[in-house]
Amino acid sequence: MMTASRETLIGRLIEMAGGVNIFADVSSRYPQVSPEAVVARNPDLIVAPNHHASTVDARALARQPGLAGLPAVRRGRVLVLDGDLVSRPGPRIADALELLARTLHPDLFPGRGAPTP
Amino acid sequence: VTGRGFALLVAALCAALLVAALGSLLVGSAEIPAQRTLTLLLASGPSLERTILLELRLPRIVLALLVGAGLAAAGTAYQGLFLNPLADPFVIGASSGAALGATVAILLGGASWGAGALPLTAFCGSLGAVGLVYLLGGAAGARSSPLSLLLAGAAVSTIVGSLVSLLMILHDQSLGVLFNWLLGGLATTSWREIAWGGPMIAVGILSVWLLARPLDALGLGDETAQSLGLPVTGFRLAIVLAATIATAASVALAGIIGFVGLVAPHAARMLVGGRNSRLVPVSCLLGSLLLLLADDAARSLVPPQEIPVSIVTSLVGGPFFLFLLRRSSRAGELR
Repeated sequence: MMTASRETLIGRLIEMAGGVNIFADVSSRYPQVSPEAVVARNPDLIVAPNHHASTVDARALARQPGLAGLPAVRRGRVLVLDGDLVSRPGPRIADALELLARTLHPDLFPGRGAPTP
Repeated sequence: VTGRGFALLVAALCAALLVAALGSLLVGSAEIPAQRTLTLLLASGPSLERTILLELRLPRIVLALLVGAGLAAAGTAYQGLFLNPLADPFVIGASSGAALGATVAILLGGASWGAGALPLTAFCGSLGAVGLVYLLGGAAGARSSPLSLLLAGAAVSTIVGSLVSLLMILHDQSLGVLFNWLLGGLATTSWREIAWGGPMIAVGILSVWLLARPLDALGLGDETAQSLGLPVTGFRLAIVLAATIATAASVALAGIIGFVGLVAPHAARMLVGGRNSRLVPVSCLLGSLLLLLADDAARSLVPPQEIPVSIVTSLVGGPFFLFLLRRSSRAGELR
């Protein structure tokens, strides 16, 4: 499975939103990581972009071998973001950042509901 | 090799395989101490380390054993059938057909169809391409030859491969997904996939083994085989079918993994000679061992990253093959 490390647009977004990327230590920008590394590093929240043909949905993610047992998956802490928001360095990137920050730290956002994309 | 020597060799290879399989449970990017592994396996109740052992490492080990053996059996069958030492499991279009099946499925949105969808379409593509080769190569006719099958395989592989490239160029958004699938790997295997693909590989291997004696006869050339009373056309179809089922199921489960199906039969031939009833099982055991060790390397060399296992099999298998080649050409075994 592929992820984004620190030196990427998505990696920066995660940090700016107050998150900690479990693969921040990897030097490749978009490394293929082993599933057992994901399980061993036990993320609190799984964020996946939704784009083009590779439609990721939370249920499909939970069907990946090994991931179903993760606390994040069992508690429903899987956020599927619109890939057009997070993967493109355009003005809408602010919406992606807000969405991420809101999911990571809901207590800091007194207003209810998701931001309008 | 005497019967006793053969039995000893098989026993030694099985023991090596067992040790390697158990050792592979300890290998991976997540560090689980060896002495804790046993306690974790015996313990009940869920834990993340137990998940890693039982849901991620164990299925990979089982899959490596199955796919390694499947590719080796198919390679042995094709090398024997085509009287060609360069033949491998993908020689008559199995891999390009699988690639086309998976590509079409991915472009139609197959990534969201569920876990079994891609393997299944790859399997169909593989069978379809080989079926086409078989019909076009005239192998179903009375005056068929292994050479016509081989040439039709090369042509169909090239055509189908171009179609895959064309589709990839036209749909460049899906390039990443496609590329990953084509590179192959054992990482994202689930027990469910093994449950339907494993038996298929096993059936393919067993069929190749049961056809070992006709394969011996075909190795003498069509005319000799015919004069021995062998219905050449029928047995050739049976062998192609058996080898293709093993290949297609392997590709469907693990993508395209090179070199195992080429190297294992040659190494086995050097150990036990050319009789297929002995060659097939030894070749399978060597194929399993090679793929198992290659996957151990693929998942532990640069943690937490993974290297596609086909890169490792080619990097390890290639030089080993050259070594064998040098040795046997020095001994004058190659003609």
